[in-house]
Amino acid sequence: MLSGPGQKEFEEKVYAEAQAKRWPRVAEGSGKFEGQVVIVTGAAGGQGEMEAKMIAQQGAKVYIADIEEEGLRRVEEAIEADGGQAVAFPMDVADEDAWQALVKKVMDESGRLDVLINNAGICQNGTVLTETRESLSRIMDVDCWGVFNGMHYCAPAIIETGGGTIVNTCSYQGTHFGPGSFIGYAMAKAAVMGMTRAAATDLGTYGIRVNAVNPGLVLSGMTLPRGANRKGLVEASSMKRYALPEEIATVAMFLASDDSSFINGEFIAADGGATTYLHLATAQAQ
Amino acid sequence: METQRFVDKVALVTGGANGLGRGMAEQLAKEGAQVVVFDIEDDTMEEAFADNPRVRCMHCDVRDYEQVQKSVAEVIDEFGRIDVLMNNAGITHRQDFLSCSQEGWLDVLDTNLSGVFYVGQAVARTMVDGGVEGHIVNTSSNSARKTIAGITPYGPSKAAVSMLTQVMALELAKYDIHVNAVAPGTSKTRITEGTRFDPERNAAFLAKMPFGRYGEIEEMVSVALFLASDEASFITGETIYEEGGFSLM
Repeated sequence: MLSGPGQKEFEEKVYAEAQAKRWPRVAEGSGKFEGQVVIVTGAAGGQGEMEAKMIAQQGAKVYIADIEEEGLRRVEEAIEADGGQAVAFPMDVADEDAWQALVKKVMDESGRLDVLINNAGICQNGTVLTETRESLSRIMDVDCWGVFNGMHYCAPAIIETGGGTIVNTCSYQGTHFGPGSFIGYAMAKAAVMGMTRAAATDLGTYGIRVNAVNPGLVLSGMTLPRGANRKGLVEASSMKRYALPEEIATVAMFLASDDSSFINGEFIAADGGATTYLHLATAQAQ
Repeated sequence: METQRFVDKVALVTGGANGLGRGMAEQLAKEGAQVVVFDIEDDTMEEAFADNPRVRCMHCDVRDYEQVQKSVAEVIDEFGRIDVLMNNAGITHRQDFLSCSQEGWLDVLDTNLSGVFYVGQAVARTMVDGGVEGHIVNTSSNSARKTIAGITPYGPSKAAVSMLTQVMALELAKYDIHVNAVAPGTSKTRITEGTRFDPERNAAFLAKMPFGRYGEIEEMVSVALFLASDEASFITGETIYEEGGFSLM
């Protein structure tokens, strides 16, 4: 671990500031997803957990998937305690049989599928010199094939429902790089960008919109233990702070809802202005 | 249930007499905002909002630097602050590259680019002075990244708006002011009538749309209001294209 001096204190300070500002301030339950059935992957923590919780608050029945069963049960209980509907489905998004079983369960139980939020993902440090095809196989299975599997197995059910939306999760790592970065993550996320656009044209005629959210640095289980000193990256964003998982969830929710009914094949960066800043690469190297 | 995201907010919409701007003003008022509309089409503007007590109409030509300063100052005098700016006024007319006159070029650039700069700067100064954590939404266009023939200055003016959006976002972030842009595709506004009402161009356009239809004004407005709300608290400097996947095909 390369945790820089004062890193923990810095992160705690950023989090406290964001919480003090109450980001994001979301309007009380508008019932935007009333009567809808939604799948969220990677929902046992971080932004996936917030996506599941916030969409459930807006009236949807949410099927939550994750490989971490314990966390998934915790989220399921929390949603139900809040008066929402959640069904935990422990699975590996790389496993095609599991996807088929999930979609079958959703259609058997609920008879419809409106929204897929493809959020599950993993990250690993490594460069073109250190990684091999074999060492990248797991991250490609989860971050690239996991997203494809989700779209491939859910789209027919969404078509049967009469249309809906798919929201993929990319990253600014799909387009912006710095030395010592994450080549497997970048490869997978660039693939997700490509398949988002392709699927948007494939599925547009069936009334399915496909878009992606590109989060910047989010305070979550993925970014916090990641070793490298992230202070430079935070400084590189115009807003000079981390996002709370909630602030990515609101964007995914917007893309999943009718509020974005004419947006298709797009990536929305929720990165605090990091990708508008020319010095991003310099900051990544720090 | 209608959300009430803009209660106690003051919102300024430029080019609010017609189309997208009018839709923005109506929806902001519906969600609780006090709205001020700038436009040069006084009669259209007055008529549009005659029955809407939450909307105040003001004559302001965004091409006129002095007039913009004066009008923004009047808004502050009357309402105290501006929380949301929909920097929307824009025009286009058909001009082929080879025949485009200097006058025609400047006409579009003055409104679409200089107007956004003048109003954006004047309003941002009031936000900084008043400690307002405001939201600015500029109206760009999908012509900022893909163009069609015959509207020479329009695409360049809108591409410049998207870049100005990044500049504003970067410099205003330290004041907690969010700046983003919406980029409508071919939607049912006056600006697209030339295409929509020409059978040949209409058919060619629709064939390229994955959804096979034009955008409705309401669905352009919903994106702009999302960006103006606190739900978009980590988005800044972005241009959000709302064009049904038109550029993909």
